[in-house]
Amino acid sequence: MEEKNLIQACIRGDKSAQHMLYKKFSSLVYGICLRYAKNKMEAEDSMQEVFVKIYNHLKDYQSAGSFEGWIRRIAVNTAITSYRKNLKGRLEDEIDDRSEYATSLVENHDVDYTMEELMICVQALPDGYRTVFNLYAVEGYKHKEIAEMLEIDVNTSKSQFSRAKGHLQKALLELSARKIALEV
Amino acid sequence: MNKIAGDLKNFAPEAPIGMEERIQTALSKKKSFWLFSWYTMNVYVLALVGAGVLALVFSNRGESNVVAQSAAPAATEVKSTPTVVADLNANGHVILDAEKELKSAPVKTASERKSVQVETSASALVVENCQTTAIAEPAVTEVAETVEVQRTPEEIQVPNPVNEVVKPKGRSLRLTRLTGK
Repeated sequence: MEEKNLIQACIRGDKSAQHMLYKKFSSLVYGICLRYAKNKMEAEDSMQEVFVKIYNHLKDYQSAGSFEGWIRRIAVNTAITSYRKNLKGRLEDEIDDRSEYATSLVENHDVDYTMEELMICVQALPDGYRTVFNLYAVEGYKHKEIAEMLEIDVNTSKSQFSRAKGHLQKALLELSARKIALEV
Repeated sequence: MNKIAGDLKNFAPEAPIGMEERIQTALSKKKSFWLFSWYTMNVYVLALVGAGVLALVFSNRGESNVVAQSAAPAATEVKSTPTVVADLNANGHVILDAEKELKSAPVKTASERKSVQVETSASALVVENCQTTAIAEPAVTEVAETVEVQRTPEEIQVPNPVNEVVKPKGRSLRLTRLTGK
């Protein structure tokens, strides 16, 4: 079924069309939700919220942009809303001012990791770091845009990204070291 | 870092089993309020019946309040009616010894309020029909309450008498020769 027809059928409430839409985009949405969430349970809750929003707002979709991009934006916005609600987590992030990691520590090193391992490392990041890292490095937003979205200072966004990068690199280094130790 | 970002962006794992059903349940839950169902229908009917009963109760209360309010001025009418009734007979002629009739007029009790009200309305009709005689309106006497305000007199402080004896200036002279003492 063509994308337009699929959308129209979903708007009419056609269950089979909704099933097709889910099959097509569930992996993409779940991947995004996993990146922004702390754990799988939170990601599942977020995914449910995203799909409910998609089905309810399909009539608002204007076919000017790509449908995938529209869905991606809904998923990211849901994650941002969830982050905003959790102000406590943000405060912890501001307080958490551990030593800066050397960001170029593993810049040129190839660290072997599986996607699951990488996801565990990302999810282990504090809420603020993880959100800024995803928005900047993965989604490609600028620090100014991120600052507006998360209602934080531009410098805070920059510093949180820098720290997130450091945390992630350190975690990946530790992971590879453990792997090497196991091999030996 | 770019590699990590790229990997993360393209990461699309399989959604957990049962997720679709969960989403559909959430969707139907959200919609169910607006959809017709016997359950919601019953709730609406019950709410309507309840609102009707409440409206009835409150309207009855309002009526009883009106009756209570109309009953209050009736008491004043009872006092004023004998003068009107005493001045006129059934044909609308002036009764000469109205004072006598006034005295003989029965005292209306609270239980007879209704009959008095009917009487007053009848007398009012008589008054309206009677054109030849002038009706003396009951004199309204106002009793002015006199309020006496007594002011307590302020205490006047009298200075204590000074015990000091003021001696006259100059020399004291005793006249012994004239008095002989």
